[in-house]
Amino acid sequence: MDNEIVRLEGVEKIYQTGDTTITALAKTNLTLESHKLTLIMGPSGSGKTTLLSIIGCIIYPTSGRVFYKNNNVTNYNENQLAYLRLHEIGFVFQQFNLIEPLTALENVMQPLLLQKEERENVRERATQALLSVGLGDRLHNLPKKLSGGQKQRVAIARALVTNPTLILCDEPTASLDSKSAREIMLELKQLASSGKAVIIVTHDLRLREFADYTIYVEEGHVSTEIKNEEYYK
Amino acid sequence: MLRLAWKFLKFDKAKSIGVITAVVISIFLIGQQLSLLFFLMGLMGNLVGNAPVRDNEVWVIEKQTNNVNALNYIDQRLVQEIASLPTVSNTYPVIIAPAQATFLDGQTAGVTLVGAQAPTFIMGPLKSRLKEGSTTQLIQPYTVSAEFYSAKTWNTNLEMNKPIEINGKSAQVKLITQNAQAFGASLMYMDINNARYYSNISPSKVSIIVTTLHDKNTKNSTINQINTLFPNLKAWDPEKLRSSTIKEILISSNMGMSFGTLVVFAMISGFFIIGLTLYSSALDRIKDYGTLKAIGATKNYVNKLIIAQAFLYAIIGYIIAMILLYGFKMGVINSGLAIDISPTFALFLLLITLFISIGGSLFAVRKITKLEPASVF
Ligand SMILES: Nc1ncnc2c1ncn2[C@@H]1O[C@H](COP(=O)(O)OP(=O)(O)OP(=O)(O)O)[C@@H](O)[C@H]1O
Ligand SMILES: [Mg+2]
Repeated sequence: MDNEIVRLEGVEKIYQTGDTTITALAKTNLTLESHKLTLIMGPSGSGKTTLLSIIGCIIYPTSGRVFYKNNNVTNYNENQLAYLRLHEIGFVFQQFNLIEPLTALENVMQPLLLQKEERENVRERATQALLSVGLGDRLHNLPKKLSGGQKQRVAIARALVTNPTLILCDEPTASLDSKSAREIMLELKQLASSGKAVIIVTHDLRLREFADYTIYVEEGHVSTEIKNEEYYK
Repeated sequence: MLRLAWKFLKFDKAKSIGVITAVVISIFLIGQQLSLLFFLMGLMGNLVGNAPVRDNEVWVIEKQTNNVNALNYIDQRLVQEIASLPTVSNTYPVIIAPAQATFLDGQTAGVTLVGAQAPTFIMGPLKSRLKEGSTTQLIQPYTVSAEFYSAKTWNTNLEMNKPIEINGKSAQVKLITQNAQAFGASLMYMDINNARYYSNISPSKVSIIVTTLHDKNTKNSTINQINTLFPNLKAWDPEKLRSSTIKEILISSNMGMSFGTLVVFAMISGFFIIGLTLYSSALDRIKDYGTLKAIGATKNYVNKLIIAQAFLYAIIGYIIAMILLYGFKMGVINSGLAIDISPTFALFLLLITLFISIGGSLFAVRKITKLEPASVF
């Protein structure tokens, strides 16, 4: 139980647009642990990003409760959640979401600046993070000058630079060739072993070899998590 | 924060240039119109403004008017009567009279004669408004002053000792003033007897009785005393007479209204152009603002980021507008438009700039503050 990072209790997300009601996520109970790499898989539109956004405290559930490190964060206000995201969670978004006016380096510096770290120190750490994803020669490029794979790696560096406890990645390898994808997955796997909770949304079946657990989502229904060993049986 | 705002600004060059242009145009327009208005207001009050007014002075005029440029004559005997009041040290009669001045090489123009006793010349003009000659030269008969900046409208070249005619009688320019213009007819300073001679005003009439007091602290009581003792007269603090004059002219000529409307419209249009451009550039960057929120920036931080951009636009636009305004000042200085950009005025314009820019940015802030961090997916 000590390893528990996030716990969802009866969490449900319903979108109401006009007359149509979409249950993006049906009642879900789920526990995510540190030292583990968890995959979330499922068809397009099944609710993976929705699930990830609730885990990442970006959206409020329609009902149910969300616990972060055993604190009920369901009733946190926007600022409290922003603080939690800033200090505890690293995000790699499906569309990278780099900040367009900022260079690769500045993008990676931004979360640290939000944390009010010393600027010199920030520059140093951000540079290191970009070097470790192999982008040492692209520090001062704006996102529009970067390829999809490079953007994805900047996004990964930005997510990891704050040394977050919970790492959430929405299709982190979609734009990468298999060699870079493998490298990134090894890195994420390494982070999980070092004590982080790593959650990855993917369509890529090949990533299962890195996973401790795999969760399936279908039309908003989350299957019980499957231990990978069991899955292969 | 400003650093980040600056990067956003640089990234959207076209929109940034649009916003800055809007700031520059509205602030330059407001600055130009107001400085012109202040200049004209100065001219309106120049009968007071040209005089070396001291703290212990009270100006007494006929009661019907509040405008020093539209005086009725009062009885010369009152000069003595007021002088006999215990708090009064001296009285100086002054004649203000309309006349026609003819320049032999130019044209005929309406002027206002300002006659005061030599050698005091209580009505000035101030030394700082003299270009050539000195007031002592006006003691001689048939000598008058003329305004350097009026020469162009008179179609003549002003020079010392230039012979001219006033109401058909010959006179000589012995003093050239500069920046001593009036709002209407140009002011010509001279000895009071010369003024009577040229204007045919009877010796029993005066226009103003400039009254000096032994003690400036008795000013209010003396004013009250004169007003009660002489029901046809009104005593003024000269500074109040100047502002009352300006107010009268602004209202009667509708100038206050028309300048005011222009300034208000420049402000409103600046406000909306800036507001809408900022709004549309915020929409362009909406994904970035959402991302900032998603990675942990507070609502407040993102709002400040937008306001910081507006602030930068304001500062840049203000600097350019002030440079243009300064250029305008330099451009018109030779035609006698002495535009004054005082620190207070500059500060006032800065506040207006900040008001319209930051005010305009609130449209964008309103939009972005409602933005949910999840909207970036
Ligand atoms: N803000 C929203 N408003 C209304 N409906 C939404 C919203 N966000 C998601 N949905 C709906 O919820 C469902 C789940 O969406 P979600 O983005 O979680 O799917 P996904 O599994 O991530 O798909 P993909 O693999 O294509 O990324 C979809 O039907 C989607 O249309
Ligand atoms: Mg998705």
